Amino acid sequence: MRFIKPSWCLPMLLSLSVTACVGNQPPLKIVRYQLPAIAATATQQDIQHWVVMPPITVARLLDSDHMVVAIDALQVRTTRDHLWAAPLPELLWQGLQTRLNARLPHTQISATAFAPAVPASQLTIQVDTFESQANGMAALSGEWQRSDANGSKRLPQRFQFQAPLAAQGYAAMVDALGHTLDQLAQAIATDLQTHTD
Amino acid sequence: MSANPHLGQRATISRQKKLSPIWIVPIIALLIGLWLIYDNISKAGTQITLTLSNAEGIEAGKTKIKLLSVDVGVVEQIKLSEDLSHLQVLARIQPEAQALLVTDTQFWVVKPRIGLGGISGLNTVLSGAFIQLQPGKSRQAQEQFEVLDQPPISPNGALGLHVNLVGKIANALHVGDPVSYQGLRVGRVVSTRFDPKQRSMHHELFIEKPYDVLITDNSRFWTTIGIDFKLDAEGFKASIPTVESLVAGGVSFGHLNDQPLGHPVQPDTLFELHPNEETARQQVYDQYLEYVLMVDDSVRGLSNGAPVEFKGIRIGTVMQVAWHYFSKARQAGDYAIPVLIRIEPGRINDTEQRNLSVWQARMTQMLKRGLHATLKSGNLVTGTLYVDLNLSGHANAVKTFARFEGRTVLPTHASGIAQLEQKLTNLLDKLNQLQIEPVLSGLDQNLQQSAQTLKQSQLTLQEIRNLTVSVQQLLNQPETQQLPAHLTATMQHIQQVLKGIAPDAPMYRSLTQTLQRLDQVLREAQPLVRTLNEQPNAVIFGRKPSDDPIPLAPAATTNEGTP
Repeated sequence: MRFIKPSWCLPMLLSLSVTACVGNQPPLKIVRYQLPAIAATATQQDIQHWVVMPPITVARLLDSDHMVVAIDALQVRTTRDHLWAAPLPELLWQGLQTRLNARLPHTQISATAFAPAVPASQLTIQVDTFESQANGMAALSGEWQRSDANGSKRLPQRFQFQAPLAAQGYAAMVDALGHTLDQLAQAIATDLQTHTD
Repeated sequence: MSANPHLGQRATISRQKKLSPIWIVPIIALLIGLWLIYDNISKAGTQITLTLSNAEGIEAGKTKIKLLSVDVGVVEQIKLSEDLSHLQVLARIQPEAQALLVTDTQFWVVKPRIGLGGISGLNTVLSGAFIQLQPGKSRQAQEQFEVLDQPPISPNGALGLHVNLVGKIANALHVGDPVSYQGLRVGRVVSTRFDPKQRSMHHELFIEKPYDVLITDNSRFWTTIGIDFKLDAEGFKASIPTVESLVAGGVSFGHLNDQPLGHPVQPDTLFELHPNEETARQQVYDQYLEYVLMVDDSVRGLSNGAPVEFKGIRIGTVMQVAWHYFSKARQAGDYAIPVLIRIEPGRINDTEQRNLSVWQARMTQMLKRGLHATLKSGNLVTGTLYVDLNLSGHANAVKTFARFEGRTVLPTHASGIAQLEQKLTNLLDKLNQLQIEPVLSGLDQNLQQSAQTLKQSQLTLQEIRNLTVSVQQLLNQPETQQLPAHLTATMQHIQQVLKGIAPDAPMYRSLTQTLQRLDQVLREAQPLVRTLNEQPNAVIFGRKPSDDPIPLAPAATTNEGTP
């Protein structure tokens, strides 16, 4: 009497070997981060200026949800287990918008024009680096350009900010990157106030 | 008994021979001497005397006399004539050539020559000049010869024909110029001579053998020199010969169109030399009828040689304008200008040429039927005129014709402009005769009719007014007035529809959200694709946890970022 046919043996052996391999894999632990929030300020009132800020364009390496860590002056690594909560351009736009609105109570920052008839100046931002560096600093660099309500463009301005990490680890890195974003928001707000008033 | 023996021994006297054999030697020597003298004399040849005007290139004892490039003699001595006017050259001709020395033998000096006919005698540049001998045909011996300046054009013995030309074109031809027939050179000008009494040039031509048959009593000669421009009633005409003829000149001849060659001529026949081909062919019409036109109008533009045409066909030529103007046959107060014309039947048909009497009768018949002449403008630009003969139906038939200086007078009608004048006068006369009154009465009727028309147009205006009132009533109706409201409602509907697809419309928003979701999906698929890219077996075995680097804190004190 034969209970097991030989033709069944091969698939059974294969499946056994596969499950054996799976059993050895350690569990994945993916952590997602978002940019540090800021303290709530007074709501917008008596809006006098409208600024349209289109989606931020980022370098190709940053156009994702992974983080960028520079190992030395030449090598960078992208993380796979420590990720941003959303694609980085969205996070940056939202973070910058909240920071600018907090600093400019009479200015409305929006993604699209409020209405075609309302004159709005435009703010274009391009981010080249948003990473932690080997010397322990978080770095933010890029370029921003303003154009007036009548469409005339101003010269683009380079920016480069750094903030030290308080400690080792990704949480401290995200915190430091949030500080660099604060510095950028402050610089843009100062410029907007200077030239629109 | 002995006799005197000496008696018996008497000397015999024998006569000594008169001539010693030794004399043979001087005799033979003498004979040899005589033979030598004879031989020398007989081989020396004949001495001839050549007369020439210029001994350039001729040297005594050196210059040869040649016949067909063979030496037949040599120049021995050059001396001046007694009157110092020319040179005499003594030359010795070899005995073999002695028979050549006859009266018509010709000599000339061969030396380099450059002429219109080309370059000749180039070989004498190196060898030196020589004297060419051309043997004659005569049997009469001669020892005095004249040397020619130029090589003879028609060498003795050359077969051909000599003809003479007489013309008034003095400088047209030179010795050696070509004689051409249809462009082919068939001979040369042998000599030219000016006759002061007749004030004309005489030329002698030599036509070479195969072509001498072309010279007949129908031949016409003309010069082929220069460029001929002509402006007449037939228009502008330019005849330019070939460059060779332009340079070399020459004389051409030809025959009448469609005519047999004619009869051959005797040597030295005299022909006339015409200045150009057309003149030469004109002279063909030697049978003609002459008439006189008495022209009252201006003859400006009518020149000698102008054509006389009948219905466009040329039948004659104007020979002379103002012919015998001061004739006694003219009546007082008659200032018409007589114009002599020729009717040349040969122009229409060569066979007609002979029947001059037939033509005479024909012309008389035509004159009786109203043939008359008119001066017409042949060329509007130059204003040249020609004589037009025509038969007009309304012309009065004339029974008898006036004669002027022995010629019949052709009736002449006024020219085109004069006719125009006449017609204008007629027109004015007709205008004068026009009756105005019927026209005026007709005009009055027209005015009355237009008054009626005015009344009708007033009625039309009334109708238009009525129409306006009814249109106003239509506008006042409530349905018409509601039309704008309907239009407004339609516009509002359209606006609502447009709002539906505006940026802040729900549909637009949902579309944007959908796109964002799609973007999100793509982004979420990105890690999977990346993982698979890095670790293809991750679907089965799961992804290994990566060794993400730990971000470092600064080793030293914190630095403030700089923009």
